[in-house]
Amino acid sequence: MEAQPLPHEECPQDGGQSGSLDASCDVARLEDAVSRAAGWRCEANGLSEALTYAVVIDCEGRAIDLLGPMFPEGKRQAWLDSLANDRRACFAGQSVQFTCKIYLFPP
Amino acid sequence: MLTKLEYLSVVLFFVGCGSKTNSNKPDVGVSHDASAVADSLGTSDVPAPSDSRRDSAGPPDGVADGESPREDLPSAPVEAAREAPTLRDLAADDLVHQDRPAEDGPGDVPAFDLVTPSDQTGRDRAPEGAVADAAVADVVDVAADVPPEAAREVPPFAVDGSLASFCSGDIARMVVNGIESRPAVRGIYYLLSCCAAGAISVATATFIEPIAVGWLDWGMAHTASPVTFDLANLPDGFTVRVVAGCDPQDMSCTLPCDPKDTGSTNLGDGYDSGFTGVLAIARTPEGYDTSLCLHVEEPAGSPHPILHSLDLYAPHVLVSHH
Repeated sequence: MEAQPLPHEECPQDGGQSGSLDASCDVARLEDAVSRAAGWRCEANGLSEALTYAVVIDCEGRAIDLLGPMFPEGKRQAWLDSLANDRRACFAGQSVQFTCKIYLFPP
Repeated sequence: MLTKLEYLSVVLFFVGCGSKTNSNKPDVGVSHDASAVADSLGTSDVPAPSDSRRDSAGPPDGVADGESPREDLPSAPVEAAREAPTLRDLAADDLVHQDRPAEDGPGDVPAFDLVTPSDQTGRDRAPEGAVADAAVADVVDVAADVPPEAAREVPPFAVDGSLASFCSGDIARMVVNGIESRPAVRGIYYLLSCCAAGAISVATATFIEPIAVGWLDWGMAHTASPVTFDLANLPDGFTVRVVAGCDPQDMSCTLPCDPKDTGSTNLGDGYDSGFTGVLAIARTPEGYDTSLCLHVEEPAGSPHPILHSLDLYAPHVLVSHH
């Protein structure tokens, strides 16, 4: 799994990990969420370069942005709102990369 | 010695005969000419171009119309020589973005307005007026009348060789595993990180498996302007794939050639190469206007599980991001 620390984020040592709202550090749940947004099956360890997304997690473990192609406008915010109650402390202060498999255009 | 009056009478007589002789010359008409050429080539069963125009408004799937599925394919050289620029002409421009005026004029009606999902009920017949327009567009070069806006959106599209007559007119048609049909055609827009991409998906009552032809332009290097690709000689960074057996928008679909998914139960069939024909792509405000003329078949000794051969003509399919 490719998770890059956010260059602008300096999270405290326990960045969100003590939060009681920590839903899961299971990347599969995040994969499902990204797949829902993309309309394709997306994986944190995917091979394809055709369609990639990055989920930006803040220091509290909240998904605060989804970087990548998104259509139509407004879908991105709706997706973020759907995750508003989740905390992913394991990924606090990082952006997690996902690649998506497209049937017609395999890696 | 002839008098002036007699001389004039003789001259007028011969002039009259000459005129009469000229008027008796056989028409250099389309269908007569095609039949003669077909006869001389020993292919007298080749339908004349007028037949192919009739085919454009022909019967729906499952109606034989007295012709075997592939009978009209060999007529290609007859029409191609007369009507269309050759594929070699296009290939010469292969990677050159073609902003020059289009071959077809405003009389062309986009096929996606004409093709409807029904194969069995005859609802996929084009309106008569549209077919008449198509017939005219087949034989008349009206490029001079194309406004600049249209010229940008409609790339030249002409095919030489055995596909020439198959890939003409405004109606989509398909011969899959030897069975001809009038498929419903749908454009699919792909929003990707890397590239421009689109697909043409076809469905017909005579072939149960979904079929799609996808194209992908890495870095969007080739499709920024209207362009026509020779499918037998695709440039680096531009790929075409034909898949069958699974809806291309189904997330669970995979292909046998995807090494990560060999255990999947939802395998399809596909081709990555071996194509002939042309693919024209033009960016529009809605997405892409794409026209496809494609032939592919399984190599000898390497049978495919679903798609053994495919001829597909899909003119002006809108690949829309809406």
